[in-house]
Amino acid sequence: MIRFSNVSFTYASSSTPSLDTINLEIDSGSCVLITGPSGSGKSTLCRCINGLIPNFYGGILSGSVMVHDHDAFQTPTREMAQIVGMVFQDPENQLVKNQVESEVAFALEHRGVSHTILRKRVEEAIDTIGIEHLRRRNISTLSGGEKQKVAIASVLVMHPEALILDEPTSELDPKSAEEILQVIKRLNEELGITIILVEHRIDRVLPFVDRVITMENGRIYADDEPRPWITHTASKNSASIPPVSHLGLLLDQSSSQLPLTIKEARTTLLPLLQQKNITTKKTTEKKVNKNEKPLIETVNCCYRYPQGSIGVNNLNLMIYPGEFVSIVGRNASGKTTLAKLLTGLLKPSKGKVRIQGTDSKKTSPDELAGIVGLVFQDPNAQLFADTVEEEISFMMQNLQWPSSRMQQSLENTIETFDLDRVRKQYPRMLSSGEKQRVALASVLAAQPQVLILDEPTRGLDYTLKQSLMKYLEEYRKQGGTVVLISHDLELIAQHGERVILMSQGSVIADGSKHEVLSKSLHFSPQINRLTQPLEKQGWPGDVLTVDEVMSLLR
Amino acid sequence: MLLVIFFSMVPFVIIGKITRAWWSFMYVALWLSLFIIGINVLINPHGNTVLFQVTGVPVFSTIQLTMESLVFALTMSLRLLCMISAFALLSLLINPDVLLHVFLKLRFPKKSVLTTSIALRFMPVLLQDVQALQDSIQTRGFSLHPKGMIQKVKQRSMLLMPLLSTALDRSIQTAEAMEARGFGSSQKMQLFTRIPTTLVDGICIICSLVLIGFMMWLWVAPVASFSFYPQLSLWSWTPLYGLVLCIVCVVVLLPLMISPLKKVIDIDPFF
Repeated sequence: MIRFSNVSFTYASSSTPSLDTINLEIDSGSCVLITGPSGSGKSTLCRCINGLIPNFYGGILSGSVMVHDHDAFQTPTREMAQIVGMVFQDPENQLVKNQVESEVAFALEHRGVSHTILRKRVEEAIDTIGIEHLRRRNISTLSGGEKQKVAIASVLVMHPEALILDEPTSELDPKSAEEILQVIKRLNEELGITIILVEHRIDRVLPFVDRVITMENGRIYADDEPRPWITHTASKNSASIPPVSHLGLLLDQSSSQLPLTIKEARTTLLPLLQQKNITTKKTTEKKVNKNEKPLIETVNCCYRYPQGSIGVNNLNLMIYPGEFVSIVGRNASGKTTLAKLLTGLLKPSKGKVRIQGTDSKKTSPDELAGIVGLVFQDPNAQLFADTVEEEISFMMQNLQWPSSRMQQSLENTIETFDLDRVRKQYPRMLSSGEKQRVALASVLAAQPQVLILDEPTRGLDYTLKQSLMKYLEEYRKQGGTVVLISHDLELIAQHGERVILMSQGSVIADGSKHEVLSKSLHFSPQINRLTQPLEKQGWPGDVLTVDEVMSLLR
Repeated sequence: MLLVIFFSMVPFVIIGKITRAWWSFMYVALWLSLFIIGINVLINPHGNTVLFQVTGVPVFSTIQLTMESLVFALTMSLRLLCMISAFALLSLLINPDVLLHVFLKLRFPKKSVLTTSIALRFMPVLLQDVQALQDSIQTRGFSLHPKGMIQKVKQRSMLLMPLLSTALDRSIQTAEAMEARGFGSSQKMQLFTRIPTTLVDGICIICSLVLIGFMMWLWVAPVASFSFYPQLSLWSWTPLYGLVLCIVCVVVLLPLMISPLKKVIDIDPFF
C-alpha cells in the first residue's frame, strides 16, 4: 500500500509547486496509469514514492509518503530501492555496464548478498522478462526496446514490491513499446507487483489498468476506473482515448458498456452500427496535379550502408508541391534512411535523388537547406544555440537572408509559435512542449519548400500532437509541402492525405490514405478494423476515423 | 623476429572471428607504414649503400635512396603494424567489463573502475549525439566543410557546448537511475561474473613472462643484435640464432595450440 498524505513539493529551481497537496492511496497489486500534460507533476509524483525526492532532488517538501510501512522521505534511497523499483524514459541513460548479464546483476552486486543468491536472482529476472537470448550481448548493440527490457530486468532483480515506470515506451517504436507493455502487464497479473505507469499511449494501456489518475498543475484532476474515466474526461479531449471508446461515447453507450479494445467493440458496437442506416456520400479527395514538376524525385534510388546492409532499394518516388505525404512502415524499413536521402545527408549508392532538379550527389545538404528542412524526433539533438532567438535565426543567417527580412520572419515565427515569453532563454532548459516548438520554429522560420519530419510525435502527449498538427496545417496553407515519417496510424488516418507504406527499403503501397490504410490487418487504424465486416451491408470499406463513421450515420 | 610476432596474431584474429574489423585497423596501419617508408627513404640521407640517387631536386637538392634507410623504415613499419595489430586484438576481442574485472582483482579502487566502465559504455552514445547534431546543423544550411582553419575551429567549438549539455543531462539521469537502484548501499562488492583462472590462463601468463624475460635477455646478449647505420651489419645465420627463433615461435604459439582444444580465447600473452 502506498499512501500520500498532503504531499506538496517545489523544486529548488522553481517558484511554483510541482506537487500541490496530494492525497492518494494505491493498493498493493494494483496497476495504476498516471496521465496528464507534460509538466503536470507526473514524474515528481513518481520520484516521491522511491525517495529520489528529497534524497536526490532538493526542494521544499511537506507531507508524508508511506510505502509498505516505510516512510519514503526518511528511509535512505538505497533501502527504498529494494521495495520500489523505477524504470526511466530513456533506456540509454539508465544502463551502466557493458554486458547484459552484469547490468542485471549490478544492483545486487552492491548489496552484499551471497554469490549463490546473486546468480539465482539474476537468472530469475532474465527469465521473467524473457531476455535469455540477450544475456551475453554488449549493451551498445541492443535496440531501444531490448535496452528497456534489460532496464526492467535489472530493477526486478531486487524483488521490488512496486514498480514505477516513467514513460517507459516514449523513446520506442510501436512494436517494442507493445512488447514492453505486455511485459508490464504480465508482471502485474502473474507476479502481483504493484505497477505505477506514466504513459502517453493511453489507448494501449487502458485495457489492463485498474485505475487512471489524471494530473494537472501538480494536482490530481481525475482519479477513476478506466470506463468512468473515459466518460468524464472524453468531453474535454477526445483525442486521448482509444477511437473505439470515442465512437462508443458518440453512440451513447453507457459507461459500463464502453469498449476499450476492438474485441469489445465488435460485440457491443457492431450490432448497433448494423442497425443504423447510412448515407453514402463519396468524399472527393484532392487530386495533385501530376503534370506539375515534382519538388523531389528519386530515380531507381538505392542506398547500401557501409556495413553492407540495404537501406533503401530501387525507390522511384515523386513528391509534388503542396502534398502531405506520410511514410509508414515497420522499424528498420528504411524510413529514416529515406529522410536522410531526401535531404542530401546521405547520397544514393545507385540511382539519383533530384531535389528541385538538382542532383543530390552534386551538392551538399547545407546548400539544399533553403529547399528542404528536416525536423528530428528528439529536439535535444537539434537545439544548440544560446537563446531561442539565435536558434530560430541560425538557419536564416546561414542562408544569408537580408537582416530586415530575417527580423520580420523571426518576429512572425515567435508570434506563431507563442515563444515570446522565452525568447531570451536557453532552449535546452525549456519544457518539452516548448523545446519541440522551438525545434519546429527554427526550421520553419527559414520557409523551406519541403518539411521532412522524422517521428515528430514519438513521446508527445495528445495535446502536443494536436498543436504540432495545427502548425503543419498552417505551414501547408502557405504553400508548404510536408513529408511526415510516423508510426502513428491514428494520427495519419486523421490528418494525412497521401500515404506511402515501406518495407525492407522498398515501397509496398503508395496512394491516398483511404486506399493504403484500409482493409489491411496491421496497418489499419482501429475504426477501419472494426468496420471491415460491415462492408457486406453496403458500408464503404475505407472508413478510417470516428468522424467519418459519424458523417456516414448522419 | 617481428614477423613471427606479427603472424602469431593472425590465428587469434581468425579464431576471434574479427577478420573484417581487424583488417580495417590493418588497412589504416598499412597506409601509415607506407607513408613512413616513403618519408624515411626520401628524407633520411644516412647509410653508405646507395641504391640510386637523383640530383637537382628542388628543396632536397639530392635524394639518396640507401639500403640502410630502406631496411630501417621497413623494420619500423613492421613494428608499428605489430603494435596496432596488438591493440586491435585487445580492443576487439576483450570485453571491457572483463578487463575492468582484472583491474578490480588487482585491487584498484572500485569507484574509479566503475567510472571508467561507464565512460566506455557511453562512448558510442556520444558519437551518436555528435552525428545527430552535425546532421541537424547541416540541414539548416551550415557547411560542415568550411575553408580555412579558423572556420573549422569555430565550427567545432560550436558543437562543444550542446554536446557538453547533452552529456551532463545524461550523467544526471544515469546518476538518478543508479541511485534508484540502490547504488552505494553496501561496502563489500559481490561480483556476479567470476572468471576462474584456468590452466590455460596459467600457461599463457607463464609464456608471456618467459617471452618478456627472453626478450630482455636478447636485448643485452650479443646473439642477434645488429645495427642499421652507418652500414647495415649483415648477420650470418648461426645455429644460436636459429635456436632463439625456434624458442620464440614455440613460446608464442604454445597458448594458441592449447586454447582451441579448450574452446576458449584467452588474453593474448602479449599484454
